[in-house]
Amino acid sequence: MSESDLMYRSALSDREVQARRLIADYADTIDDGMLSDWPKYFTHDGIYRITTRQNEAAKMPLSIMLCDNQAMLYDRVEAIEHANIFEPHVYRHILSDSRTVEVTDDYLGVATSFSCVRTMLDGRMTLFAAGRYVDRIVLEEGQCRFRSRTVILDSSRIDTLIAIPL
Amino acid sequence: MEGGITMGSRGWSHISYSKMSTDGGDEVYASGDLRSAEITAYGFGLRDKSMTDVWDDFGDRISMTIQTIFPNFVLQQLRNCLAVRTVVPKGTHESELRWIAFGYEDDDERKLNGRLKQSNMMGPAGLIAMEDGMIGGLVQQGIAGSLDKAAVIEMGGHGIEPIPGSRVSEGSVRGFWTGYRALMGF
Repeated sequence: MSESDLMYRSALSDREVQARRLIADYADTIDDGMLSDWPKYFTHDGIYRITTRQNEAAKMPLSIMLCDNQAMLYDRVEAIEHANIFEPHVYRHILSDSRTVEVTDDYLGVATSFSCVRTMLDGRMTLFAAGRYVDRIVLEEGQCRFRSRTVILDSSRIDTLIAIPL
Repeated sequence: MEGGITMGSRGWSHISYSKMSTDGGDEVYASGDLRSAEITAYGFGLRDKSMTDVWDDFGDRISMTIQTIFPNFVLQQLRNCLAVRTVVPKGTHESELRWIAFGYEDDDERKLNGRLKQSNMMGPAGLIAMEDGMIGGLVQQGIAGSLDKAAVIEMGGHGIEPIPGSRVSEGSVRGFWTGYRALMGF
């Protein structure tokens, strides 16, 4: 590790280090297929939404997926695991370094770029999604959790469906 | 549940609809006790009821309607989630489905938020809609190896006349192809 790397690392607050761990754990949980653990990364009133860059730029409030509390996240998990029918597939998230964009006493605002490769059961791979996570992360019961996670997709075109959350 | 399919005069366009509150379905969702009983009984059900907070937008008790205008325009009402959709062919093996959701200028906050939340039912991540695109894809994959064969499933007969009071018919799909064949000279 170079000297500038070390300086950079030591410049991160404990809160920032924890927030980055949360972001990495979240991606691993989804990529490992542990979907039922997904809601645990959010506060009870946590908001998760997927939207597009085009919608954001036009200030249009429509989401591709919108859950505004943890119970809704559990409902999504249940729908995906028991109700909805789709071709089995897995994701692999590639994350950029996270940038702290807002610091308040209450929450940390963090932005992270991602790309997501989708692999189907028969091996077909596609670059499924690319975009940015915009997060508000709070400390709750000693754990970092998302109070809100907005997934902003670069493209407005989705190949067939988004069953598993990004 | 009351509902049916209304065909346009030539069968090229149609309206498919169902009406709410005729089988008590809404009352079930209105009660948290019943919902948790549902989870116990069936092993699954909704934990969050906010998405089922619905109202009668047009005073006609219609909870779900899809109006298809030949060839590629669709007006959608899923509860209070309103949208226009267009089907855009991109080639012989690919098409795009585009959604434009809308509300009304005089919607209050409850209605606006209700529509935005109920939008979870539509689109690529739609709890109701997500399978729609995939099913066509699976059929396409399934028939790719047998292009010289034919299979016919006559759901609702083989004509384009609607079955009174029922949506269990492919009459509207046959109606679309009737128009397509007429225009294309097949």
